[in-house]
Amino acid sequence: MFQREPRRRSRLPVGLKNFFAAFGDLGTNAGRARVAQQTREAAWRVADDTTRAISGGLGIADVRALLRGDPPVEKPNIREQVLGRVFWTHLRPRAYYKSSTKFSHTFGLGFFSVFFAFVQLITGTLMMFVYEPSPARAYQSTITLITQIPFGQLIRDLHYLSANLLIVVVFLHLLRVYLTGAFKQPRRLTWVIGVVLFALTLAIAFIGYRLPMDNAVAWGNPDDLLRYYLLHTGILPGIGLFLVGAHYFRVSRLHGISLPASEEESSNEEVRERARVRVNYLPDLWARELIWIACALLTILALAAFVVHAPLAAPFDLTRAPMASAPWFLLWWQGLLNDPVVLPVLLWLRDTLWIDLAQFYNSAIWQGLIVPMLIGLLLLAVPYLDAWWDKFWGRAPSRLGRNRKLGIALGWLALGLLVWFTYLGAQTFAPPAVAIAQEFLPDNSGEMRRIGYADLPTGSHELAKFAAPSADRFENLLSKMQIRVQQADLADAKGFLIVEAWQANLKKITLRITWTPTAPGESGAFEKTIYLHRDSMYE
Amino acid sequence: MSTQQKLLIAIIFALLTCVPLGAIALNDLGRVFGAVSPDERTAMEQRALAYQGRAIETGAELYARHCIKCHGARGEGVPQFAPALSRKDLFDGRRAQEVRWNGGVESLLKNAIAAGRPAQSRPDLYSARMPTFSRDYGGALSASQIDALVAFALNWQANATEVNAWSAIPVPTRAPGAVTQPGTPAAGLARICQSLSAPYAGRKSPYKFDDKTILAQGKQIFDDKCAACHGAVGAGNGPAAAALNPKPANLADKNFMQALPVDCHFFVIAEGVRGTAMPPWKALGDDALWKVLIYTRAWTGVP
Ligand code: HEC
Ligand code: HEC
Ligand code: HEM
Repeated sequence: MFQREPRRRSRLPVGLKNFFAAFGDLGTNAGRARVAQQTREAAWRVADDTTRAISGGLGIADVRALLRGDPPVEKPNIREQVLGRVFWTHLRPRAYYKSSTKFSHTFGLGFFSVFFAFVQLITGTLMMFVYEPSPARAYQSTITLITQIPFGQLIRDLHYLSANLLIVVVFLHLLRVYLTGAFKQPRRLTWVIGVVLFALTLAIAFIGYRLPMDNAVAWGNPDDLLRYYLLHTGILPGIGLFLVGAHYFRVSRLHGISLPASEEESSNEEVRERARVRVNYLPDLWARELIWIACALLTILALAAFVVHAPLAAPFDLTRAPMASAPWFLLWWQGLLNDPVVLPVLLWLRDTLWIDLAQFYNSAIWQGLIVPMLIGLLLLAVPYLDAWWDKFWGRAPSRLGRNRKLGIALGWLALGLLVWFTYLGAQTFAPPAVAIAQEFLPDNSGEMRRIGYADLPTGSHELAKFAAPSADRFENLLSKMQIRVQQADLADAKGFLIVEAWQANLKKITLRITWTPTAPGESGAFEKTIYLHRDSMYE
Repeated sequence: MSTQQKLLIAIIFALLTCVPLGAIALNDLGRVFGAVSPDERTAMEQRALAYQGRAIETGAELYARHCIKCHGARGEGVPQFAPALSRKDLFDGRRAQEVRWNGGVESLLKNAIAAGRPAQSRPDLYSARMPTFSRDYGGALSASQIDALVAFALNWQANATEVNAWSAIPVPTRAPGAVTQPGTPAAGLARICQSLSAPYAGRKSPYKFDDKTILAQGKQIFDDKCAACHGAVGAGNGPAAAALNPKPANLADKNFMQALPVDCHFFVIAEGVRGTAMPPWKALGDDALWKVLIYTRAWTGVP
């Protein structure tokens, strides 16, 4: 396509012969001027060549024009040549339809997905130098990373933050694509690849939570850690990278980013044509993306430095599972277990008609495997079902909102269900006293720990004495506990917080709740103990 | 917006990333830059201490679940059954020498907990056997959990007592699970009362036993600190007592008080009773302890 013209390459140091010739010239004024001129030219050539080598073809003059937003200098358009022939830049299209670049059409969500995926690749690779994927060393090496390696905590925080943001962004991207109808032909396969990417993102994140071998996660066999590690760092990201390539190849080379439906399907020809005005990627779209990158980088760096730290709970304990077992982005799945609609119906069926589907519905196979697979299949099938629906009614496919009211309504319904089931999954159905202990003495955080060792007075504190809110943090916390104890569905409930000096710089904190038992076999008392060390800063 | 403006904005954002990066550089490399004085800690050093502290917390929790029944709630051991762990000789190398352990104290502890002591080193003194705890040897604990237990055990060093590891503890102690008879002082208390040593032996109250203001102040302290367990009038039936084992003593019992001379009474309040919920109250200060002592003794009238 493009043939690069052979150019004379200059090399330093200039040959010895030239050097001596120049030396001879230095005797006269004219000679000196000539040497100066030659030196300037040689220096410019070297600088220009270096710039071309780095930019993939743009000389100094063209770099300047690019940065100023001027038209390209060299003909034929050297920028086209760069975008066409250099590996990294050839990944991007040379031009877009103007309207497909509107921020309010895509919100840059696909772009940010790639960005956060890159942050994951880089920070993850760096962590591989310290993390040791053996059950005996994983936890300790994670502590080493954040306490001994300069910038180690930053790297881990970035990886944690950007993993969560990636999930959010990919999900919003899916939602945007669905609501703008961009999954329709010719983008059907792009959608399908996207669904697989979404599942991969969730799977990689889910496994990632296991790797530090702390007790924030309830599943898994320590002896399989190496397998989880290989899946998380090699196999799944490898598949993901390949699929992102395929996904983006289709977007950039086959069908481009969709136009806003209102313009693409406008009855006004002028609108349709204006939407298709071509905008070159260089320099303005490129500059806009540089802003996005800098902005996103600044955000995650500032969050990691000042706000969010990746948590690390106590070491994994096979015998003592934590209360919340699913990460936030899979709470909906856990919520299926608390399903308040279908299950009661099935129970009713069982009790009246003796058709026992409830047992099957409650089984691990159904809840853990079949339901998520059905959801996945449904998502994969969206463009095909959509096309079939249009054909069934004999309608021409259209992306306009007013022509796909049902589809959009179903989308919002699915989102509503997702939120609802996430809420259900976040509920813990613990007995009242256990729930209070869980709320005030959670496993690795909580106001009690934040108040800190020094400000927890030893002694037995009867909560009833702290009924009113107080300016003192500790007493105020006691008053909050007292309120919860009183509100709890327990007869004559009383609470005590017993703080004991337990070891050098270590306090033992016991919350004890007593009540009058109403059911036979109920003990009437519940206790939870935590320990707090002077130095263990909790946020 | 022109290209130049866009690029300018991008450059400004990019330069601003120096703020968080700089903050972290100070946190993690403050020592290298000389930004902290030798007696200050960098944020990274504080973090290292924090995780050390958290390991001790985890260790305490694991200890309560796995070790108390043999080594006692506070590492005081159970006579004739299993040794104390809060002993000086365990930390200063004497015990290591005794069992010919060439590594340091830390590795001695780690090894004892991970691999247990299938063969007893002192069958003449202790009937129990130290079980294996490491998952590698069929136990329930991971390497990190054993590290946490070692950190917790090492933290006894500061307050370890100079006892002959293998004999009695100079603080009143109850063997866990011992049957409680309400009204009897802690096991060995009578013996300890007889051979009470400095700084407690022979101590006398600075106040008169019938001083009304002292009694009122004593009542205040008692209601505040002790009534939850011992009950409003000391009968041992406070609201928190229900689940305690052994139960709090009945301080209103005349026989009980007669067996408890004043200096020994003071000593018990100050040091607490190991192996029970009775905490040491030294931190309240001698003055407060005398007041509460006078108030509680007024119930039985035993001087
Ligand atoms: C079944 C009772 C029992 C349990 C449970 C038990 N130990 Fe032991 N432990 C012993 C006995 C007995 C010894 C003395 C072994 C010997 O040397 O003969 C001992 C010795 C030790 C020692 C070495 C002390 C020394 O001076 O050599 C350490 C450290 C120790 N235990 C820690 C623990 C920890 C930590 C736990 C809980 C995870 C625990 N033990 C649980 C009975 C027990
Ligand atoms: C957390 C509950 C609790 C609190 C608070 C408490 N005690 Fe006790 N106390 C006990 C228990 C349990 C015993 C029984 C110990 C035993 O059986 O050896 C006891 C025993 C005693 C004894 C008798 C010693 C003995 O060997 O039986 C005295 C004296 C005593 N407590 C005084 C006090 C005083 C004074 C306070 C307040 C400053 C106080 N206690 C606070 C639980 C408590
Ligand atoms: C790691 C995950 C993903 C990455 C990195 C990614 C990347 C991208 C990028 C860069 C674009 C260009 C346009 C834009 O920014 O919207 C795009 C478009 C698209 N993506 Fe994704 N995507 C991912 C996941 C998904 C998912 C989960 C879906 C849906 C199930 C999806 C479906 C699509 C479709 C249909 C288009 C074309 C949109 C249009 O033309 O308007 N992608 N993707």
